[in-house]
Amino acid sequence: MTSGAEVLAVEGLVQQFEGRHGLADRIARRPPHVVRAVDGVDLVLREGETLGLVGESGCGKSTLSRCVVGLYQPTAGVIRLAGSPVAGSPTRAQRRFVQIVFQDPYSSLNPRMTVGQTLGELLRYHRIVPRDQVERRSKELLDLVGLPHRALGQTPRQFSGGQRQRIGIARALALEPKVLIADEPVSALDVSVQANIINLLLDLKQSLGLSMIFVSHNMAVVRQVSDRTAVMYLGRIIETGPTEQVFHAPAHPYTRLLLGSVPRLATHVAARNGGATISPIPAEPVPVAAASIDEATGPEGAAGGCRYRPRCPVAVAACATEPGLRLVSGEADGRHRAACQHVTGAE
Amino acid sequence: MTSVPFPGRSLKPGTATKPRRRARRFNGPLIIGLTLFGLLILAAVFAPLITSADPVAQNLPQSLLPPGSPGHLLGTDRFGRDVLARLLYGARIDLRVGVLAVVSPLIIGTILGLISGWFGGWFDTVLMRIVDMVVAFPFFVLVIGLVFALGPGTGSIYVAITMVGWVAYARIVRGEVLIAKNQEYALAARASGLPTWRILLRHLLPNVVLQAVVFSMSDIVLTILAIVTLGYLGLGVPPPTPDWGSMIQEGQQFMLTQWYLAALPGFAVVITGLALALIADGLVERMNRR
Repeated sequence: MTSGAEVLAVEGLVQQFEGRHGLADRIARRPPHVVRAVDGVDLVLREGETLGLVGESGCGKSTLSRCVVGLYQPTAGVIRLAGSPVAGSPTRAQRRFVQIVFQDPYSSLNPRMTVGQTLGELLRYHRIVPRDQVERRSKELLDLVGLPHRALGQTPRQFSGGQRQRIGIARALALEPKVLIADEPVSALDVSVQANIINLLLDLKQSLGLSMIFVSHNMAVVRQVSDRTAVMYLGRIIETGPTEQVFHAPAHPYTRLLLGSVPRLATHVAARNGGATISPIPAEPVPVAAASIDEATGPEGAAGGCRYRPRCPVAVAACATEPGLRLVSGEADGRHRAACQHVTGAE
Repeated sequence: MTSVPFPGRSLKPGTATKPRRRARRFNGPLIIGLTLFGLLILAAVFAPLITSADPVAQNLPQSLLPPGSPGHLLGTDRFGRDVLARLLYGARIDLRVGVLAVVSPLIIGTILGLISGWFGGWFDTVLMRIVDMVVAFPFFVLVIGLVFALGPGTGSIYVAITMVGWVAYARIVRGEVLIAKNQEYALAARASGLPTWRILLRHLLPNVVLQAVVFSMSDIVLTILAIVTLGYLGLGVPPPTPDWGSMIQEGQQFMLTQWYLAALPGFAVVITGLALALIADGLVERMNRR
């Protein structure tokens, strides 16, 4: 499945945010408070592929996806779309190339604009179709996402969450992108409509030949939709590989923890053994605090060794130096790699 | 403001399953407020049709007539001028100056707040320090000082109130923009590559301007009060042009004998304030309904 041409690549991406650094701070020569939401990420997305991006809240998944669609100017690193790097802010063609579906369908649509206005504005501005074809094309987009044509004249508040997410998908598809970023597209929806939206995304991906980055903290969903999976922790990718291998044989202790904390219904055997079916993520220590560093370190972020060390049950002295991604198994795009000292493969 | 009912409670049976149709509920405050304000405007516009009396014509033998006197429905003042006529013609001045003096601060403040909130940076810092400086002065001291410097008259009132009034709008709109620009619809507009001016005008402005408009309603009342105060101090509309402020000031001397000379224009100010407050309430209700 994964051998198509590279459509999107991210190399050494760093996105840092500075806290408020007022005049008083400058006079007192206090250094700005810097948070590195994304800290040196490499990714490749190939044509027709779905890449799952998982990790806990605040690990930088959303920041990474917003960088890719050009909402943030990366602090360092390169984003390549169809082989050509994005210089500064993306060009119109590059904007069209990658589009994003947002998490919250209740805030992702302009409450003051009808669906027709939202879609029409994009079709006209990017000159996707001639002006007299805008309405026809808008209706086609609604057909694509399974909404009735009369939706064109309605405002977002007249729709349910699932319907709104369909409108959000139609808006992203209006620009005819090659890459679709789905940033937690179903986590704000009722469980009963989640499956519908996921199936819609997968169908559209198939029929329109899209490549997709599917961002989620829901392990079960990622396992179902993605060909490859990347696990993020505190701004880094700590494990990546073909989905089945990552889920079957997780090499990084954090991935194991994530998989172990997926709630499951108790089976007969487990119930008889009296075993707990959910192992909660230990509360200590607070990861967000660990993510914020008060001084800008080098782009390699070599400050404190493996970031997972404070929470890791199998931490050893060697973890004081942070390992890069090491080979677990496979080759080429099928490589399964993890950033852990316990993995003995080559970096 | 009505509170949102706790979900699952205080919901009448059937309300939860109602289709989400465009709710055109009866908006009492808005309708009453608009009606009241409309009547005031009509009275001002059609003043010559309502009364044939001249608001500035003096008639000393007929001075200080009580309300209900033949030919003078609300009586006359100390120069024998018809009070009803002066009230109606006064509305022309006060409502016009009140509304117009709010329009330019509303526009200027909204534009500056929009730019300040969206772009941030040094422009935002400088603008907000200026806002702080203007706010630090008492409103009336600043307006009176400015009008005094510019010379009395409606032109100076417009200028003075604009120079002081825009800060409130800039602050309100900036705050709304700071919230709205991180809403996903604004991010989506940016991600789709729309030009900044278009995002500001089409996507942000319609979502942030209503707050400023709501504030402008109470600001009109404040402005009318300012005009009234300026008139009282002799810095407002020059006499003998009728204006509610100067009417109150002149009537004040007869408080014990002809109390209505001050009370009637005062009542007109109260009615105007009430109408505008109702409109503002109605707008808030509409806004919360979405």
